[in-house]
Amino acid sequence: MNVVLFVGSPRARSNTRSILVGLRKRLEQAGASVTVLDPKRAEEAGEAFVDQSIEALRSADALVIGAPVYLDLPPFKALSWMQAILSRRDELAANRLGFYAISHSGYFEPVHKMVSLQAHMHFCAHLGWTWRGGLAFGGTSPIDGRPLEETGLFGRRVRPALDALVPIIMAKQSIPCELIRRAGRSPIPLPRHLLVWAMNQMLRRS
Amino acid sequence: MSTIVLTAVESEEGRRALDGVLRAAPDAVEWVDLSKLDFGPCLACGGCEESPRCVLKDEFSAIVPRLAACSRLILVTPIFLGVHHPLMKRVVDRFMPLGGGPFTVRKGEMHHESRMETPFSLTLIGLLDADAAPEEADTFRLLASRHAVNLDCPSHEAHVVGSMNEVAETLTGVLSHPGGAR
Repeated sequence: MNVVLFVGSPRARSNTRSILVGLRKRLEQAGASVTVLDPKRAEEAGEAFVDQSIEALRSADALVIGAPVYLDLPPFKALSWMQAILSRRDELAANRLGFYAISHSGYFEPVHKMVSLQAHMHFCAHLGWTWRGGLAFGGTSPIDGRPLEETGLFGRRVRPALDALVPIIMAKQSIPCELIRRAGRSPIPLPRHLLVWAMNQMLRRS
Repeated sequence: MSTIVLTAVESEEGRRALDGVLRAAPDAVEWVDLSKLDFGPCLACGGCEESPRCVLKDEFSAIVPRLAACSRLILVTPIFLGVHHPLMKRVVDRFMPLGGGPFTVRKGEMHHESRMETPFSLTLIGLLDADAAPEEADTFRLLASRHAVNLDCPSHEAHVVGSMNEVAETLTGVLSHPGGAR
């Protein structure tokens, strides 16, 4: 099982990277061979990087794109990579791999990730790949680029969701609705106004 | 009442069509052709969470304060995967200083407070390829409504068209409504 992970965040201290490093570890423990595509900056995602991406995708069984949501969408870095891959779709026509998306943001509600996940679905459709579903994590800002094991309460939705996602990827299955629902729940079970008050207290202290 | 039009159209034919409309527009309409603008992508450094000033200094830096002050913003973009063309997204990522600081609840959702004194009305005009799925048009309309919530816009509208001529016609029509998005 060859799995490619694309890190769509331009951030140095990236929560996307934390999530995908956690996923990589779990996939490798399950016996998968994992390739991580992780240009640190959009400018690094030049032709050589796209060549490397195409090469990895040609023999992949699954692709997982992980990206934060900036103003409703994946950041420029992720979108421009998708454009580069699409421009060379003929080279990937022979491999109908399974596609998974992970969108996340500091805002807690799944609705913030809705358009981003739809864009990923359209990307998958253009390539003729198999859409296997997307997860939307909220409240990820406090992860702050740390390993998921160190994120306590703030990683309590992400960690079990990745545990559950790995056997699904390995079995080439689609993400069940129940997992999508569980992953999308707020990691801090407080009413919204109280949550906003607590976040603003944290903001003042920092 | 000032209007800013950001366009992410790279073809010569497309830019000529826009040029015809925007050169005839009133003085209060500012056209920013992103294909000619030298600007970098957002670094996601988080600096704008504390300060409204972006750390990047380039040709887009001077436009951010004008965006914060305009009463209407019009984005003209080819539709890519149901959303903005990457050139337009490169600039939309740079909108982040328009919000920031404390969190608030807006339309039942968590958001950063807007830093704009009077947020702009928003119009999206998208050019959809003939071979794109109709669902991409639905995604584009949804994007306009999500942007409106995120940017605290008092009103918004989205137009999906199939040719540059239709883009020019739609833009002419939109500019003829002084009140902006309905």
